[in-house]
Amino acid sequence: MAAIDISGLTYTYPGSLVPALRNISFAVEPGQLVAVVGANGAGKSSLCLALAGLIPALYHGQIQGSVTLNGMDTRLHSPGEFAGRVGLVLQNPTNQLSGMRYTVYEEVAFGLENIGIPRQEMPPRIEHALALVGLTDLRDRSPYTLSGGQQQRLALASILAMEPPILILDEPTAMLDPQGSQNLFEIVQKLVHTGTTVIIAGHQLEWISRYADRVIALAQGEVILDDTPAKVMASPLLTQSGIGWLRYTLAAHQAIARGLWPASRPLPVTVEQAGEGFRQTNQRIEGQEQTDADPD
Amino acid sequence: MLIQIDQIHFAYPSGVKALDGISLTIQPGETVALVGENGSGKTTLARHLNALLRPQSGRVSVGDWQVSEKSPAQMARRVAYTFQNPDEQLFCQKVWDEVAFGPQNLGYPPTQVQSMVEEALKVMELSDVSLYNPRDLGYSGRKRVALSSALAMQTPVLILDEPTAGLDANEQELVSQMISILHQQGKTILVISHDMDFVAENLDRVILMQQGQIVLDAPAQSFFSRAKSIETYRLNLPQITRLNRYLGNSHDVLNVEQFLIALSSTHILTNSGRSTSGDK
Repeated sequence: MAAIDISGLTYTYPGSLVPALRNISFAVEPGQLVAVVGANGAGKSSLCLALAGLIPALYHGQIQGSVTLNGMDTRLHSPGEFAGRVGLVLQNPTNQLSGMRYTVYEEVAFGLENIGIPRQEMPPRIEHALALVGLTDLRDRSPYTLSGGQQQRLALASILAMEPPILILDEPTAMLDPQGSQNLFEIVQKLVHTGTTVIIAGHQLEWISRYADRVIALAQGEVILDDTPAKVMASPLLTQSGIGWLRYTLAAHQAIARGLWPASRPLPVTVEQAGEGFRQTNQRIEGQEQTDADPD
Repeated sequence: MLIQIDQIHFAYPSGVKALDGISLTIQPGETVALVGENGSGKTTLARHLNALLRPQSGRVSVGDWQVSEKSPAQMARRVAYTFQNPDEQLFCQKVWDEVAFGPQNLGYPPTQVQSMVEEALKVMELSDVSLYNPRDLGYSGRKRVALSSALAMQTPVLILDEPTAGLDANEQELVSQMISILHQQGKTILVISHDMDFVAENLDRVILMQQGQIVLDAPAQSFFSRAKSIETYRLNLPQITRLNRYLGNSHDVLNVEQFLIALSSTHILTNSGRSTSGDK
């Protein structure tokens, strides 16, 4: 059974005339890391809310099609029933923190209390989650004295402690420093290896190209690409839809016109692919220079 | 406008020591990036420039003003500031009112406010949504409203805290254009950022903070080669710098154009002492 099965999902927010999501269908097998990319306004956050069972339950509006999470149809179950089954980390951590707990430690405990985890099981889960995101030293601080990046890591820890089999991350790295972003992708990769299904929406193309199994690109509420990172992230559709390319891809693309990258060679999406490609260019040019220098 | 920071120390009431003896001079018209890991003191330092925070010791001056003698409202005349999180900053019901709030409070006449707001909205491509409630825009839309608000004040100094976080490629390009316009106008710009690609491509000087101290302060051109173990500061190299190093080149390039120019010159093709055709 697919962990996530979306079929013909079209969704329009209340009061809006334009659908935020249009005819979206895809399935995700358990233990996959799927990245969702798109320009702002393309529907990434709406898709995340739908995948967490919050659209349409909390947001109302017009919905067609279905979202099934581990066999549970989101139209037939309340958001509360998905707590612990699906974890959603919001883009803005201040919207996620409970506002009801005085310390970082208690904040992480809050979610566990809500899904009824026995008291004795809580400390090891909390400790583990705080250690994963590197907040152990700040456990006694108030969540509201943390920096933006630290709050974002706290929001993540609160969800991780609940150990949901499906994890939805909506731009979880927007406020993290670069190493924090990389750590997040490393944490996610470990979870994926243990069978967690992870959807991560965002602009962190560098880490997405490295860690994701699959990339779905959205434009104006529709899926425009759904393939491997190598295929999606080198697609011209990515720049046309405002998502942009990595500098590696951009450099190779601009190098074509200067004769420094053969048009027939696929565009790179990692530093290694770009580096090896440009090395071949170097060897080719050096070879030509040798021929020029030693005419027979 | 000249900014001088002299030996400032600051600890939060909780006891967290955020700034530990910072001294810094920023020349008028400089574009400066402030980088470092989460919690290194970047935002705390920036908030000393507009009197949102005051040092326990040391002095800060902006032009001929001692910041200690001014209120945040007075400092707003010289220093515009955008928060990392736009939701901490926006409160008006309409985008237009939000962007007009600064110039109105600085006492500009209505006709001038009108043109200041129009210009600022245009740069951030918000003219079409000027009558919207900022809350009806997405996160990145609200972020652009916050940036427009700072731009509209036409202050000699601007501080942008993580201006590109959460923005897509096109929106980031708008921020690049905004910085370029401000730079041409001779404004002093301080940008706090984790986005090293953006820093390398848009700012001239990079200051690295760690645990409340400045650990490196260098022109962007040499910053990334001087910060030998940049990962220990939880930063990454810009993508293009990384690619250039992957190819074994020791000199740094800051953008795709510089990379391609270097690539097409024999310089980059004959690294590690190999002879060029011209040497034969």
